Amino acid sequence: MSEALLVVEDLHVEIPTRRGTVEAVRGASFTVERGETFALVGESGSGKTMTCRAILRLVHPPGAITRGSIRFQGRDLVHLPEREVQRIRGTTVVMVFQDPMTALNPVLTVEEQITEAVPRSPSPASRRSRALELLRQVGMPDPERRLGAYPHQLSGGQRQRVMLAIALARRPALLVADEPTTALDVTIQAQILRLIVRLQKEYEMALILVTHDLGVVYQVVDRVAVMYAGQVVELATKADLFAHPRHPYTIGLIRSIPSVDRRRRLTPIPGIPPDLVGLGPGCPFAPRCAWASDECRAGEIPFLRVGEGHWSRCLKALQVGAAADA
Amino acid sequence: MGALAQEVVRPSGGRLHLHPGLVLGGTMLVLLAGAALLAPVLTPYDPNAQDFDLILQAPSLAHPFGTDNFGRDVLTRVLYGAAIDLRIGILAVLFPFVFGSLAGAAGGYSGGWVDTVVMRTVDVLTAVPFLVLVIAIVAFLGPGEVNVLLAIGGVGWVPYARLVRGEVLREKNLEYVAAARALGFRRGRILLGHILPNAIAPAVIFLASDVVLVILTAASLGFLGLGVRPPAPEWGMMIAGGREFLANGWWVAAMPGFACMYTGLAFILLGDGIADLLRVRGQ
Amino acid sequence: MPEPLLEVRDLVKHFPLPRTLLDAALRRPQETVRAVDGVSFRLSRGKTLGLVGESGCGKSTLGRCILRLYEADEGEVRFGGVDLMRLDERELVPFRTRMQVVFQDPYASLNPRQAVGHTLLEVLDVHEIGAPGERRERMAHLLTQVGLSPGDAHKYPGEFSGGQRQRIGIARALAVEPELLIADEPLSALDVSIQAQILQLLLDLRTSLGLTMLFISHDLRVVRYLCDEVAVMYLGRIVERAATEDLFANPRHPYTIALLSAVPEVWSRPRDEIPIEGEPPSAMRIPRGCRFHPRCPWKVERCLAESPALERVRPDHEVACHVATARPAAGLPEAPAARPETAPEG
Repeated sequence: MSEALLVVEDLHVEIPTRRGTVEAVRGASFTVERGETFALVGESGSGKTMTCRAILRLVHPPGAITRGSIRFQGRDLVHLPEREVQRIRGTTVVMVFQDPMTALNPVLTVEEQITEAVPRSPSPASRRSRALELLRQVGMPDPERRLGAYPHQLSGGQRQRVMLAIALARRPALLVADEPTTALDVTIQAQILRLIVRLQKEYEMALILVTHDLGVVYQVVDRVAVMYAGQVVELATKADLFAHPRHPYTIGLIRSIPSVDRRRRLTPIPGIPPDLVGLGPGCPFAPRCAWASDECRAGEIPFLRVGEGHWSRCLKALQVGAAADA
Repeated sequence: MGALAQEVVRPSGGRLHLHPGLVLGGTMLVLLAGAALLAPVLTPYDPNAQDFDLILQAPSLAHPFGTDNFGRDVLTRVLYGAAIDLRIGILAVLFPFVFGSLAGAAGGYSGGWVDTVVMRTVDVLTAVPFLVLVIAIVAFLGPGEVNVLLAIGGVGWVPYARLVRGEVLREKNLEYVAAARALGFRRGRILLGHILPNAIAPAVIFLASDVVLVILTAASLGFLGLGVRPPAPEWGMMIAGGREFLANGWWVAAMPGFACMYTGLAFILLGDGIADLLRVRGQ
Repeated sequence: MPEPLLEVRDLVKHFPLPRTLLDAALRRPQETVRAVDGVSFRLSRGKTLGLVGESGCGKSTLGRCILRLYEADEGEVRFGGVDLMRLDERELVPFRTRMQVVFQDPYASLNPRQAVGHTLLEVLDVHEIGAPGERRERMAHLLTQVGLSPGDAHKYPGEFSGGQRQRIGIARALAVEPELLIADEPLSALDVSIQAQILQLLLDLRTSLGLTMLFISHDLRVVRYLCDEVAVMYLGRIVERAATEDLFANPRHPYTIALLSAVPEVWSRPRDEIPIEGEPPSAMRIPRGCRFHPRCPWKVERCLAESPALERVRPDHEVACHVATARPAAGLPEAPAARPETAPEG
């Protein structure tokens, strides 16, 4: 069997600050297959954004990848020279961000920003027509007129469409979308999510969707990695994750979300996420966990295989799981 | 509960963290002020006593800063001058700071005609260069320390009003102000108790550097003969007077110049330290 | 029907856009943002009304008008039978203690230079709540009530997490023992697990203190969980209002239906896509007729000309839609065929 499109192994990202070293990512491991829809789920500070930045080698100094490997199409991105990474970034791996207003250049028109991304082609006219075609593909209303528009003249949803058009210009193999709909209203969010899924199929890309919203995960993806305090704490197919969660944090998250369909009682997770400076050994979720015992607080918690393609970083995964399934 | 009451007033709970700039700048200023106060004890000479046998003597043990063209001891004059320059520097920023901050805060918070009056006055005063305006006022009132203070005070409040108004405009739209209004707090309490403490930091930091600017302005006025009257040992006038002798008596101008630099450095360090003290806790 | 605690009648709040001298010289018409454009509702004592809508629909402006943080242009805000809009600032003070607010941004809603204990004590002192000697104890009790510890009193807002700050904001609002609590998006800046904590806290406090609540939110899931009744706003108007169960089971307004179908749910397959087109127009250029018609797949000729009023279609269920009110029993006809998300707007 050939290797997956993207293999992240034991990734560590650290950011030195005045207070001490922030361990933003602490041993994240997962794989993404060709054409797959994969989600990194977590709350703020879970390391999900830093992980996907690391994939594109976009960790800003003084932050740095300190350990682990990221293999993309068989090549180790961590040790690749910056020039090679630049060639990959924006062509085979692309990223869209939560806030398209800051990701787009405010003084360039939509056309200028898209054609910049279009591969060199013989004539300006053909590049323009390619830009127009891309805008149509991302469902931009009135695309001819929008070519000449500046980012501030567009709505949030339209800006996100422009971002997607730029991302697609080089027919990438992997699209990393960091909270692409978080800043949008719910009806627009639904439009953009449907668009991303459709484009992903058309372009046969793999998609890594970074989100805090389990609802979005449920509606969109195939496989999920749940992150907490810089670690992937559970990795499973969507169906397994929601039906048979095997980590107390995942269970807590699922039980924290109200539904429009029925009123079921919420059981919030008590406490707050840990400080990522000076995290000791042991499970970072232990202080908030009802199942935690002394051994959870003591040593390194292994990433245990709990089922076919299902992994959990919990010593009591089976007990926890049995309780959750009941 | 008594301990809690103390902590509400004294947030740092005893563990006061001191910025090095605050310590160093403060020490430098205390030394300078002490030297100015103790000048009659520290030096045997009279600042204005002329001795034509000792004209333009280079620095020596007897005259560490040398003597000037009238044979006066430069160190003595610099020490006595410190009292004058510090007094002008501090007095001439205090009024502008208080008045400018209040005017800017009132304008920014109430808007409407109050803001219009404040800001149009600011515009008019900004249209004329600061020094030109001060010179014009002193020329009108006549030279002398009190008039210098009046002139600088009458113009110097403008930057404070601007700084504070801008901050107030930003702060007043934050939700903690809306919460205070929803709680029925009076305008005075909201403005002085909540908005101003959050809006004043830039003005306080500017204050420290403004002291230096004001001393230099006073020096310029002295230089032009519009400031403190001679033979008072004001640093600006001393520099002006020593200019002619740069070739054969550089110390006459340089020593009061160094004193200016020393004072400037002290206030800038102090400003740095104050900026650190004013930082919001926990961020 | 008993006297409602809060009644809003025909409330209007328009914000004129600033004009330059050039605009005046060219006699350009004054542009206004019609943030709240004729809103009426009643809220009975002890009930929680959810006010939902997307950004720019005027829901927060409405909340601020009720609190008199904004001065509304027209209409009435009756609290306990008194029209607040007729009161001057001093007459308003007693009502300030009966009606409180919790804001969205836990970072901006607390004075960063005031220790938390001081923030609460100030409220108690200003309104002379409790004997001076027992205010400290009261403050400690408030902190405990919202799940913090009395020892937190000396800390500053910057030393707390977002969820904890939101608890402090709630404690501050509760300090005056209000009857009505207006919560303006109190959860939307928080992480999922923290949202659930604060939601549970609001629910518990509502029960234990018998609070009446106006809960402003864009999140239908949260509204469903917390509220007794729901009003849906679109471009400055309420387009549908009903008891919560009824609204979620039988939504009648096309916008409500679209909103519900857009919520990404856990446990349910993606719904049949409702072909809602484009994005909401700006509140500066509100469409003629029904303000939703440019995006509405059900629109008929009448919708382009005539603005629909809220009408009762079922007991305790009102809708502002020509098509829905014409078929009060049946609801909307079968949705027209879904179009792809590429549908152009306007």
